[in-house]
Amino acid sequence: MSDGGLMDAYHCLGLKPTSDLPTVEKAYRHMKALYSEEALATYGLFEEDERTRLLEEVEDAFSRLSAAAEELLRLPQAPRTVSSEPMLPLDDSTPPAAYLRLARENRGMTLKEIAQQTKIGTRYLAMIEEESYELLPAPVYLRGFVFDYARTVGVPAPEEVARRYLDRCRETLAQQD
Amino acid sequence: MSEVAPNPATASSASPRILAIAGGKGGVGKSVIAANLALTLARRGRRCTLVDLDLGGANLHTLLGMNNPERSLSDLFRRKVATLPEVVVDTPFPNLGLISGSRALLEMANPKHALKLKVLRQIFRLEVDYVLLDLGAGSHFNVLDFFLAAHEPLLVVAPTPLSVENAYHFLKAVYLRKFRQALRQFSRSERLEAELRARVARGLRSPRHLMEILEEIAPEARQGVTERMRTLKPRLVLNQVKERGEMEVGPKMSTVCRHYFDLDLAYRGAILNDDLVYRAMQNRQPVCNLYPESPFSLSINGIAEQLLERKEVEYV
Repeated sequence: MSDGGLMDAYHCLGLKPTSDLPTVEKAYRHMKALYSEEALATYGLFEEDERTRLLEEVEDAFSRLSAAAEELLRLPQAPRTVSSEPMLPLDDSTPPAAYLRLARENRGMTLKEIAQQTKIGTRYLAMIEEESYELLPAPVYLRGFVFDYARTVGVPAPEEVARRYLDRCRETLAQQD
Repeated sequence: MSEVAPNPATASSASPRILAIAGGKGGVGKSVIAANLALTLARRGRRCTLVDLDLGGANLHTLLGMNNPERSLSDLFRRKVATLPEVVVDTPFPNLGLISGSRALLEMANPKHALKLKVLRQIFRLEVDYVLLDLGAGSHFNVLDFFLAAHEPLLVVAPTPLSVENAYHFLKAVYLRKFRQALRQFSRSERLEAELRARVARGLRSPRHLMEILEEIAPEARQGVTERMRTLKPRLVLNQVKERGEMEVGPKMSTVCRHYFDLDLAYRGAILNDDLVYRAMQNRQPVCNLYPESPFSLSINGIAEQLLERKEVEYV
């Protein structure tokens, strides 16, 4: 299956392929409740093992769709061409967020791969790249996140990148206030 | 039964829209809904004929406040009359005719296939706007074939385990019947027929197994059969709803039918349990006539409304 079974997953949950994540979550909860043991609406329709199978299908469809939604968060789509050139140190004219993304793309890594190594969720990693400062956690945590990210993508001075990132974050938030 | 359905290209306002009302189980209010829906459509100026095909317990005449009609389907089966219009009797209500099934039990407990086709063909030629078929309980071939032939196959379910279970049993039987018809159209494989019979005899578990057997033995027929199965579009009405929480049974059944059968079971709404229905029956009057503002009558109005809208959209 070229799309990783996404069309089947939408079909399983009875959704249009244009459905957003909240709609997917709602359909998932609805169908999960449907195959719970006490549902009158399925009374006498199938045997126990079939109900388990249907429930598994629903779980599988949901995990595919939610994984695909997470994938979409890595913006823009990173080309999987790995550069062997090591990253130059961060200069003053480059925003730290753009620098981090460039370093990641040079390594041909996805946000998911970084998430697996750092144990930081892809949502946070994407927000770091997008400079969604107002949504990111408090500086004390953010510093650790950016440091881990920077180290994972192998930039020369991760502490320096983290410091510069937080400076920029502080400045931006101050300007908004 | 596809051979008796009118060709859509030649269908005109002269050919009636056929509604079949089935329940899978007795006592879910199928006949009461059929009688009152027909009456509601008739009151809105549509010419309607009610056909009592619940041949074991024909009682539509009683629901309409009539005595046992002097003509019934029985006369057609016994060849006392030659055509279906001759057994239509007037009801006390304008625009509403009745074909009674009383006294037909002996002749039509198991009507011959040819006889059934004859009745169906003539139903499609009745000169009215709507024909409503009140089908018997159970999943006998005859019930299934009338259900499959209808434009609007309506399944009535009450929110009780017994009724839900029977409804699924009925839907499975409908599905299998339709599948067999489609198969004959797209594949002549005797091995497939034999295999199918063997699997069904062993207890067919899910409609998906049918598709899997098909894929295995006659993959060339798969697309044709799948497309044919898509034309199966039963509608669901939830009746005798007593508590608010029971309302969700209807949409949930639609969801599970889509997922499990890959079947589009359109939900047509819920009808509230209504003591006035009982009171009207005691008075041998249709509740829509005696208590037009009762919850039941208003629900029936809503369903009639949907039918009328649909028809107008289709014929424009």
